[in-house]
Amino acid sequence: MLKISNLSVSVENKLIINNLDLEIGEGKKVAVMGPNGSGKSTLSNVISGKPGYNIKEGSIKFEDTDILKINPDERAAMGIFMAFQYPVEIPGIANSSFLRTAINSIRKKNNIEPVNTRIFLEELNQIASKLGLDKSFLSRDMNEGFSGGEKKKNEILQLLLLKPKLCVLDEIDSGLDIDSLKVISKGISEYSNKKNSMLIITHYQRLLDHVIPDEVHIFNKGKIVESGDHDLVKILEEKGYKEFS
Amino acid sequence: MRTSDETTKLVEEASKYKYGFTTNIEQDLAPKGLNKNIVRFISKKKNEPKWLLNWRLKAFDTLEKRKDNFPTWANLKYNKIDLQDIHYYAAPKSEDDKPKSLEEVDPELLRAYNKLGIPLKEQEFLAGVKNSHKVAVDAVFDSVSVATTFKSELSKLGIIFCSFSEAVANHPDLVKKYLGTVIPVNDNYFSTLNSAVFSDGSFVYIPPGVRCPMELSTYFRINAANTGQFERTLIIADKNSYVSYLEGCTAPMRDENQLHAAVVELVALENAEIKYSTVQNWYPGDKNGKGGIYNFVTKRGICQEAHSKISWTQVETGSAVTWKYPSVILKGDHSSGEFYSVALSHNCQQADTGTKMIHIGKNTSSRIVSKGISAGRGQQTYRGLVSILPKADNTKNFTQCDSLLIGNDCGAHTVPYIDVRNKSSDVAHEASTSKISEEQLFFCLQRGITEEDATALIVNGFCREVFKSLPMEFAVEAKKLLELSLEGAVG
Amino acid sequence: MLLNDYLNKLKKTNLKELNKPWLSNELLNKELLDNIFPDNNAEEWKNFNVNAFIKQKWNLLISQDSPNLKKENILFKNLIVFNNGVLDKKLTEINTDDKVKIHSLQEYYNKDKTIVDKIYCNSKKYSEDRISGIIDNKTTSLLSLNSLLNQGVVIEVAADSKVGNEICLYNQISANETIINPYILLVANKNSEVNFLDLTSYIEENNWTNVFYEVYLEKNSKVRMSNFSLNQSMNLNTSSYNFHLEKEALLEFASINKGNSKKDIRVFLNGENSKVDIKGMLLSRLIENSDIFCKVTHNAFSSDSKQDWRMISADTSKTSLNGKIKIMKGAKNSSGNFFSKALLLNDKAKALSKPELEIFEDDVSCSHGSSFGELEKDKVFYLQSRGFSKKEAIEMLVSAFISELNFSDNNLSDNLKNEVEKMFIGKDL
Repeated sequence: MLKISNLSVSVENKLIINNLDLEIGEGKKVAVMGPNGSGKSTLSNVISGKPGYNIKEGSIKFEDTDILKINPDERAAMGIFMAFQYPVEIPGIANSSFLRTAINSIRKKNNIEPVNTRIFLEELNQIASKLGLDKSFLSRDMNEGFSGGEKKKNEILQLLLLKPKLCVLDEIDSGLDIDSLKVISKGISEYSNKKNSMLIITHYQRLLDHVIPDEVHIFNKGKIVESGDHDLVKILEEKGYKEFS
Repeated sequence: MRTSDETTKLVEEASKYKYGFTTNIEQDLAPKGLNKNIVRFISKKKNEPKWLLNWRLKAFDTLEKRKDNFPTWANLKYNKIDLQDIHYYAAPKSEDDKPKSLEEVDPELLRAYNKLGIPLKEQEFLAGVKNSHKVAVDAVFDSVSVATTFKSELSKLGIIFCSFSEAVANHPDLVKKYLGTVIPVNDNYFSTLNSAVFSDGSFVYIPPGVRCPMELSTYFRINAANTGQFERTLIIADKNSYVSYLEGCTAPMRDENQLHAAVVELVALENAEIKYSTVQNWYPGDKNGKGGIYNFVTKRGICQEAHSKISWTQVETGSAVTWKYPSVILKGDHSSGEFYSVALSHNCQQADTGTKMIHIGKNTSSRIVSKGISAGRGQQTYRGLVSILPKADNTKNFTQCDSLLIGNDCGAHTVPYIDVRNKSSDVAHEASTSKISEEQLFFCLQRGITEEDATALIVNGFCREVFKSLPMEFAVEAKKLLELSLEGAVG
Repeated sequence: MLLNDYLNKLKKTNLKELNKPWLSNELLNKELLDNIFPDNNAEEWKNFNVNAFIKQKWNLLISQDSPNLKKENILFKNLIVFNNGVLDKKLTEINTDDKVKIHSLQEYYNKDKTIVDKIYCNSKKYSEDRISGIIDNKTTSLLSLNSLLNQGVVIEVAADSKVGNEICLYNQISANETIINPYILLVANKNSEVNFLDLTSYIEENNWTNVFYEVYLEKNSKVRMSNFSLNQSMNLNTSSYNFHLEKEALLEFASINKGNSKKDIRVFLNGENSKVDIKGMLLSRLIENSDIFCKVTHNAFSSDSKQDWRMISADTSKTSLNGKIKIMKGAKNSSGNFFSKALLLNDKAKALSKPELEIFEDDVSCSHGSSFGELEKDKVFYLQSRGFSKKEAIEMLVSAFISELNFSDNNLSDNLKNEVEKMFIGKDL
């Protein structure tokens, strides 16, 4: 589904990602773990197309299309979703109307009719209640005044609604209490299937106890320094990142 | 306001300015120029009584004596308008034998209104809402009021909603009692001009204790070339009454600048409430600043008696030049005034707009929320005055004016005057200026929303507090207008 | 000679021949020769009318002696004394190992024209460019007048030097019915650091002080300046303080303004990362009119400004504050903040405020806030219930109100306290 080849990225002349190769197959859950400042967030931003990064060399292919020159909104329409580490607040815009705009924009780009309002609202309510969110949550302004946990749940709510092919989860577990973590993990696990893929970027193992990855890569200084399966998580937990620098 | 299919087609044709079409109607046009004879001509055309003619002539004399002209203190740069090069009266030909009912209205005219999406024929605004949401419409075409709907239903309640000319003929006492009391003839250059040459407008009287069951609405449209539009609106809400009034405006695309100088006076008596909403969409001129309406409007309301309330809401997206300060004089104790404004200047548009809240009575309160958006080379100024006079004990004012800049060729200016002469008052003013943050934009893009849509979305969010105070269908229209006006602002 | 006679005589003079840098500009000369002085038609001068008092009898300064000053009463290690705006070399004493030098303006200009030329290259910046497009030069006439009637003193702080002790600029006003025109150019050279206390002491009454200060902050210099006056109330004051900041320069300006006075403060942030912090107090009592115009112009990338003002009006007096933040195109990443709070102590007192923003760049953050109000009745009651009299309670709350400003200079805080106490003398609250 996603193929990153020989990718080097710099910000303000500082090399952040260094000759990275990474492949995520269809139906696979891939975890990238690394210490702070290892370049994990840069990786997710580059996949989703955030401006401000200088791609020195290499390519990122999504379903065999090179996406590096494609606008972020078009990447989203192709099925790439990034859950933000720090979701953005948009004052004055109700959550539900933001979501409807998003879903219809994506549908429009894929030549699909706008969603029927009633069906949309039904589905939205269903997802919200699955995540333990009150109905009023949907009419509140987009992320404004939300707690850390609510913001992260909102990211998952959007993921479940937009149904992307590739989910890039950037530190979705940071700043979450244990109950919220369970709700979010459940949401992710239920969504995961043979047709979609997950790139789970995290610092800690705790999310990976709930969402079991197929592959685990340890990331440091812009490179993959170690790869393995779920067992690698336990080794990492015992030894710490220092062992893998 | 749903636009008909025909309109949709026209939108495509006119591409940028949705309402930029002219209507082919036989015009009854006064010769160009401003003099006593023209004033007499207008008055005669309208069969006005002598007192009104004299009132007009006095205004004309005042105008002659005025040393000032177009205001120079505002943040506006524009070509001088030659007052002698304007038609002061333009009426559809059928005016001579005025239509008795809608059926008799010139079909071409009705077609024009349909193009505007105005439901001149009585119809529901929102699908599926039966009898619960009606809007009575008075339509002013160039200078003349052509049709007023729902008249009979309203008159059962004692509500008077008619053209200004009709009010002069049928309710002279009311007109005489209130005309020029809120905005004196010599208030400013344009109010003097308007008093001399005003052509028509709307008149509303809500009797004591009556809550007007529907929105009252006026549509203004400038059609004839080289025509000034000088309408005059007077709304009186008697004791314990309520009315919500909507005003919409459009004008065709023309290369030259056209002058619009209206006067709107509101009077709220004891415990009465007037809500006045405007969506101003006059032709803004083309991308390079050619053409467009010069909008010099004087709007003021007075909370004459205790516990009365006046609320102005405006969405200003049109006009090449906007000069407008809807104000409230808070005379009655415990009265309150509100001003909610969204103003957008794109391309070469300039807007200098704001409000005045004059606190005279005790325990009066006012609230100002202004959202200015500048894009392209647009210049946007909020200019406001909060004045607390010595006897206005325990008054409260809160002002918030925020500016949003899109691009760096535009400008945003905030000029609030605060004058406090009573120690027990509580006045607070906040202002900020910002741009659309890159983080917000990227977040929207990542969710699949295009940059243009994302901008519109964020701008709408920025304006929401104001849109919230608009009647629902107007809010929808306002949102759409904003999006339309912002086209090409990004990228 | 009287001022009016002088102004009439001036019309026959070619101002350029006077060789004053400020007067080299034709435009300014014209305003002066036509006797155009700011009146209440000038937006920023709405509440102050020079034309109303310029026709009064004002003597021009003749005597420069100052028998009244007892130096031992002034406890400053570094003291620069001016008598009626003229440098008093005998009483001046600076102990800074040559880090601070004093020149006459002419001397300094002959030595190095760079900074003077830079300051005066564009005299338009001293006039007000209305957003309506009208340019108001009226204010500049006062500056021109000042420049004509005073030789001017330059105080220069050497590059890379840090002046440890505060330098007191002591202005003593001992004339009578006289127009006095102090002119000081302060130059803080590269990487220097200095603190000034600008103190004006009025010994006599009925004078008009027309002050013109230019402060030039070179790259990476730090200047702190505090400003207040003693016994000003029976005198009239118009003053103009102008600050020019180069790259990385930092200015802290704190001032107490009172009496019948009109002060224009202009700060030009011309260098990247320059920063200004202004704290000001406006006090007015009796029938005084205390008026401030304070404008910060951001001309450079990443420049930063902060203004914090408090106003108190008593009796039938009036305070006016016109604060303006202007961000020019190109000054990206800049931030401008303005905040003011006003308190009226009497029903006949007035306060006016006009916090303006003018923004021509989208990548900036600006905010302003103003509030007016009365002391909270609940708080007064609370203090009364703890045994304070109503007057004591109010005084306490007023002192809390002013202490929010948190002046870093003790001289300033002490003076403010005294001045506020004066407002309550003999008052029945």
